[in-house]
Amino acid sequence: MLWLYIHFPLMLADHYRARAGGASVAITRGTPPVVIQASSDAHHAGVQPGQSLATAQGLCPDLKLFPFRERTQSRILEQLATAMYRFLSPLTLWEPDGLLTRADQLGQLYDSLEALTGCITGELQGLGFHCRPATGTTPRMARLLARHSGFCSEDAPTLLQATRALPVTATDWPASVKQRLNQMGLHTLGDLLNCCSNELASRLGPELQEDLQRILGKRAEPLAEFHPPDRFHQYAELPQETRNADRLRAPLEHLLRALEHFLREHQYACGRIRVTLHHPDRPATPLELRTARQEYQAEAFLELALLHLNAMTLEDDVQALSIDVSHLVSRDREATDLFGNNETRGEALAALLHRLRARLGANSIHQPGSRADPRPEKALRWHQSAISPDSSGTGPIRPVWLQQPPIPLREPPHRWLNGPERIQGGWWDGDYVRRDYYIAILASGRCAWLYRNHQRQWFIHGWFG
Amino acid sequence: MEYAELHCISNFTFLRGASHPSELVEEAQRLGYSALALTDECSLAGMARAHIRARELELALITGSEFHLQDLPGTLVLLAPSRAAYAALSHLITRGRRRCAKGRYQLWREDLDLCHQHCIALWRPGFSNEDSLHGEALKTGFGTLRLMAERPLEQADHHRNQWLAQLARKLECRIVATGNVHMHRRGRKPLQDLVTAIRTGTPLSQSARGLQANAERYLRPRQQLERLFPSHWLKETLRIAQQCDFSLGELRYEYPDELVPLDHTPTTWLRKLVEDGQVWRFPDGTPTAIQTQLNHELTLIESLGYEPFFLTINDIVQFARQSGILCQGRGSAANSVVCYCLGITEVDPRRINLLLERFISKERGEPPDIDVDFEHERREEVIQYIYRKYGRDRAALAATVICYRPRSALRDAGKALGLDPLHVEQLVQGIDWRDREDDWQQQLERKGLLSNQGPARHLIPLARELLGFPRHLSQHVGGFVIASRDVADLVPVENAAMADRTVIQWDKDDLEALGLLKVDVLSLGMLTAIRKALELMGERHGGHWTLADIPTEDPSVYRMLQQGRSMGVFQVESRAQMSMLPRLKPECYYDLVVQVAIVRPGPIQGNMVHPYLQRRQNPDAVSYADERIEKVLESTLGVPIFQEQVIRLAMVAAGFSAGEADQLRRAMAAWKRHGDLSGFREKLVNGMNSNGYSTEFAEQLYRQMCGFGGYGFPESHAASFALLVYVSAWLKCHEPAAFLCALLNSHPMGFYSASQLVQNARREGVEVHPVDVNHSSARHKLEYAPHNQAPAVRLGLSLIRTLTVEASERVLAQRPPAGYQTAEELQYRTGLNRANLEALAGGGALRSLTENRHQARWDLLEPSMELALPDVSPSTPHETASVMPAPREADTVLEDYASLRLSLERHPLALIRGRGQLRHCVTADSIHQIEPNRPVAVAGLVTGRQRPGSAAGVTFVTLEDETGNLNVVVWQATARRQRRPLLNARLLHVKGTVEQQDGVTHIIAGRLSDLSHLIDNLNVKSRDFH
Repeated sequence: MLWLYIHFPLMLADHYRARAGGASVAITRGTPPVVIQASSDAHHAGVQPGQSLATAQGLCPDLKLFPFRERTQSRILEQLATAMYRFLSPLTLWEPDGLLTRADQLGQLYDSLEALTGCITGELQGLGFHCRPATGTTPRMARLLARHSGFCSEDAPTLLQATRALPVTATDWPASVKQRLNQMGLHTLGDLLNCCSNELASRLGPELQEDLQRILGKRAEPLAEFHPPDRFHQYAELPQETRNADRLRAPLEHLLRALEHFLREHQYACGRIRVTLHHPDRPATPLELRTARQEYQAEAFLELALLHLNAMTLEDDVQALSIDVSHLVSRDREATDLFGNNETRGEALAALLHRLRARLGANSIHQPGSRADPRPEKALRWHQSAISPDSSGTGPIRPVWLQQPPIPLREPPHRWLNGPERIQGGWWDGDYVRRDYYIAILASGRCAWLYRNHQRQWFIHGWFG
Repeated sequence: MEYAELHCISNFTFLRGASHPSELVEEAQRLGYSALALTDECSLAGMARAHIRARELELALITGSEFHLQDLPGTLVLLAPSRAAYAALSHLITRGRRRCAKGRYQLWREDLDLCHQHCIALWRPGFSNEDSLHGEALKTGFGTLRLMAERPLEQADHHRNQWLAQLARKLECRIVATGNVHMHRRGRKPLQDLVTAIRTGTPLSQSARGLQANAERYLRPRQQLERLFPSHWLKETLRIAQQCDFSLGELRYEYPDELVPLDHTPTTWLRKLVEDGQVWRFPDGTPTAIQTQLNHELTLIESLGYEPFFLTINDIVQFARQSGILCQGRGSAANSVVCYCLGITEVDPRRINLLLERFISKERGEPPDIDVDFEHERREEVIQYIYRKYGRDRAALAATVICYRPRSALRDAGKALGLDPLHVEQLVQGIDWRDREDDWQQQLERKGLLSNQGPARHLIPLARELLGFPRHLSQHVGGFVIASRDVADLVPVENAAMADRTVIQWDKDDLEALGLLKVDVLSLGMLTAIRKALELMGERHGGHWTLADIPTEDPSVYRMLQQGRSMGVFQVESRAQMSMLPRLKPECYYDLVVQVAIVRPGPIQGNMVHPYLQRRQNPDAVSYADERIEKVLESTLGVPIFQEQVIRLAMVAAGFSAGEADQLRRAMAAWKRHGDLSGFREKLVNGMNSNGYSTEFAEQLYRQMCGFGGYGFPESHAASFALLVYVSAWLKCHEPAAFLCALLNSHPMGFYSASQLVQNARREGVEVHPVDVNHSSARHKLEYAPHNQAPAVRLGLSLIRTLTVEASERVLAQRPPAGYQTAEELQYRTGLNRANLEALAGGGALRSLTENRHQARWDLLEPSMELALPDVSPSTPHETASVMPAPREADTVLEDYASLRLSLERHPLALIRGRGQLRHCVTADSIHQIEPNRPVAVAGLVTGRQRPGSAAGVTFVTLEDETGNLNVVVWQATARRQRRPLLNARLLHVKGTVEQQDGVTHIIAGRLSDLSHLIDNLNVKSRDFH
């Protein structure tokens, strides 16, 4: 069996380099931060892992720095796997920065191993990623060779020879073990394999021996096959072009039943679907539907979709409909009670919310809250989704109705109730205010929140009940 | 309407107050306040500074403090109307602070008992129903109570003041107007917001908690106060202020008097001790001139009442002497014959010019400064002695006020403004801090790293304002305050970060300004090394060796120094000093005094070095403008080298009065902090012009003054240090093995690593033996050759980095007389665990037991070794099938460096050269044979990269090869072009030209190449840019 391992030596740097428009980048980690990876051009300028930021910037003044994030790393690897999935199957992700595949199965499709690796390298280069492929008779052998310097061959004895020549420092073993081996004069894997394996295990632990066995194929390597995330896509042409939303109901329902079937079959649910209305001459109209919670039943989606369709006016004939769902979640946490009902009060509220959202748009539902900013107009914060009790402390009295923007005071106050309350702040974000606030009954009998600004002009900033 | 502010905090209430004490005092004076009370929260730390400024501006300053008690709502301010109240307040603060970890305090109502009879209490209640209850209790305790009214222009102002009026009626007490001042002017509000954000850890952009809604907590103009408060509330402030007539100036410091026997007064006892000392110091009788000075000094001390201070230091020094701890006074105390006779200082007054005014002067009104160095490893014994003798109540360390510096200010301000931490870090690291400190703003602007948009545009102005703000109190390196009674009578004491250490709330400048004395108990590594070397000499030659037994003015010592062979010698071992030695060619003690002082920013920036060297070569050409100048500059051939000379010149040549000269001295000492000597420049130049000196010379002198700032190296100080230079040089010259051994045993200290010291000593003929379980002790020691008793250094087990102290003790305790025979026996006898056994194998300490390190490790890792039962005979060898390959030489060297940080094998460069990889490279020992300006190639391990402030843009790289060190000079342009090898290389190859001057050889770098790949894994660290 021949395995092919693709190592991405500069995975994070390549990723950020593309994001930074091709500038030299370095990835940093720790406090104080040090460089852990540098893009190839930065490396050329002398930037190396382990350097302080000062040294790195001394060598490469235009260096852009990005902090290391483990989640980003996993995501990039997953994206790379998804991109390579059409070439390479079966595919295994090997954290943090490698992909494994079967070269013998792929070899049949290509003239030679070189053609295969050339094709992969070219494809990845197109994506802006450096890669280093290597083959091996076992997954771990291929990985070791790839991470060390890259070595491709179909010949088992040649591969074994190359593996034996690898320094122990090329392995993933703990630094203490590697150091210990070096200090006993065991510098290469070959040196290690020459030793009696039991003596080795008794001195350096069974893990080392097991790892060696995996490299040689004497012990199985558990591998998890990678599948790109599932998606749902279905397209249906209408029997007759129409601008009437009612006529869309039946084909839409048909598509949504298909979706429900798919979701049931895979035990999935989703909270976001995209309905696309295709027109004969114009670009398609996309509709984003978001449910308040994860759904799988056609009715839930249908109701929402119809609400959306009724709220919009169709300006063009619709020729076809399609549905795409790209974000699927597993449904195993859902449960129903004895009567098949799983709706609680909270869920009823959620259901109300998602109907409101459909009617008014997701961005129209807000919840008020407060924050510690002295400026009244900035002290109010609207949260978009959370439903939690407002945690406001006991501060000064504020009107429930804030007059925003404030309006000039046109009638003289009849009676002063409180003031002045001076508010001065906000220099940090450019919206500096300095105002003296008063509470007063106006001649009209209304109780107003007034202020006088630095230019001695009067405004009404709110109303008390 | 007159007004006195009674509630005001400064930036010594860390991260709450936004103005310096001096700024508050200045503003209060400008506004015509009748008085100002500084009431930092549970602290008097800013009091001394405020006092100094208030004294100058003649503003009445009231001492007080603000408290938030655990069981009392609201804010309590206590003011000290009298000395007794001050002591009570100081005790209360001490109690609250000593209970908690550094920087915090905790007090309960019952603690207020301390202050009840003395302090004036002002209270701002918590505005709850319990107020009258708490108020009654406070009133009962303090006798009277005032309620603090405030007008911060908040919505609740009126409501609260009505509440206060009601409460006042109920409690039958008065209301007083206060400002709860946090800043001296409104304009400080952004900074106040910033420190609040730093304190609460929430960036301003995310609405930091606890921000004040407006900028009203400042020192308001009086007209405004009149509008805000009823007049009787304002009048009450004056009534209180009038009661407070205590000033910090009243503090008197009483040194312990228990050191004086009953039948003596401090004066007679000091005289007696000095007379005893005279007999010891001047066995042939005291010279008349010195006797005259001595009498003068004693009279002066008596008139100032400083005897107990001298007796205290004498007592500490006596303790050190009796415990065999080497010590020596440094600094201006060396100008005192009294100190010399008491044995506090060692500089023989017959050998240098004494300048008594530098040490003690009646006009100056400042206490004398006596700094004593003790062995660095044993200073703690001295500190513990002080605590033991005087008790923790009576002895405490002076504080060091840690202030915001540019880096920390940028970091904290950036964080508070909500900037990306990585971006801020990038800014901080992108600045070349070796450029003068005040240049960072321009650098940031020039590099365009900072956007002009959003919060980032506030970063520089705010960081600049934050600069110099106190951040916390830390302990001074060794300044002790010892009092005759409780220190807390004088100043509050609080906990330091270190366990069992307490610090007072004032730093040394505060103490000096208030005329309070402190003793500096400092540590010096070289004293440790010298003591250890003297002990080794005693071991070899018999007898007890002291500093006095070292022969003076030995020509061979000076010959050695003239060749620049000074590695390990005190003070003159740095690269700059080393290359100065062959040029200056010291021939006597006084030359060493000059040598120590000349490689300093002062003489270098004043361009005094070359003229001095020229005149040394041609002393006949030295001429003086007149006799008075000759008197000042005679000792240094007409070139001013020492700080005292510059001051004297200002008096003699520029017509400065004694008072002006003293101001100049202070300005020079404070120059690094305030950076302003320009006021003296004109006077100096004009004065010297009118006395017939060239403007050029005057300007040179002025530059030199700037250079002295912060690095003042007075002659007396250099004289003390020169003594140690001579002693350590004598040891290196005559007892090189003992000296090396002592240096290694005192490490870390000095300029060089153990590896560099060992290599240097071996090149100079000292034999060094490797670490060996059968021969080594824990520390390094001397071994004597059987045939000629020649000493050699045996490296100790302590050199092995990963070996625990306990393990090395066990190896030594269990070692049989004939030594361990096998690794198994070692294991069996000591029962060491695997990690320690491996450490021994790694350090090559098993060389007499096993074939090689590889095999030793393999054998040691055998699991049965660890489980060996006591009844297993130690002599049966274990059988192992695998035979490890013998280590190559390079492996051994690598492992030596990894385990010991040094190697006695061939130098890595020798190995590489042996492989033919460094062809055409000249070695360090033959570089001086190359003709000047000839092209040359060298290579070596990079052991140092320096960019001194006094050499613009030049990088000095030190390379080490198997024969010695090479000095490479990299000019700025070269460095810029070849940053990569310059910054990265651990093994550097340099092509350049040779430059020679007075026997010192440099290589001026042309092309640099990085050869680090040849020495991968070699654990050599460069000392970069210190």
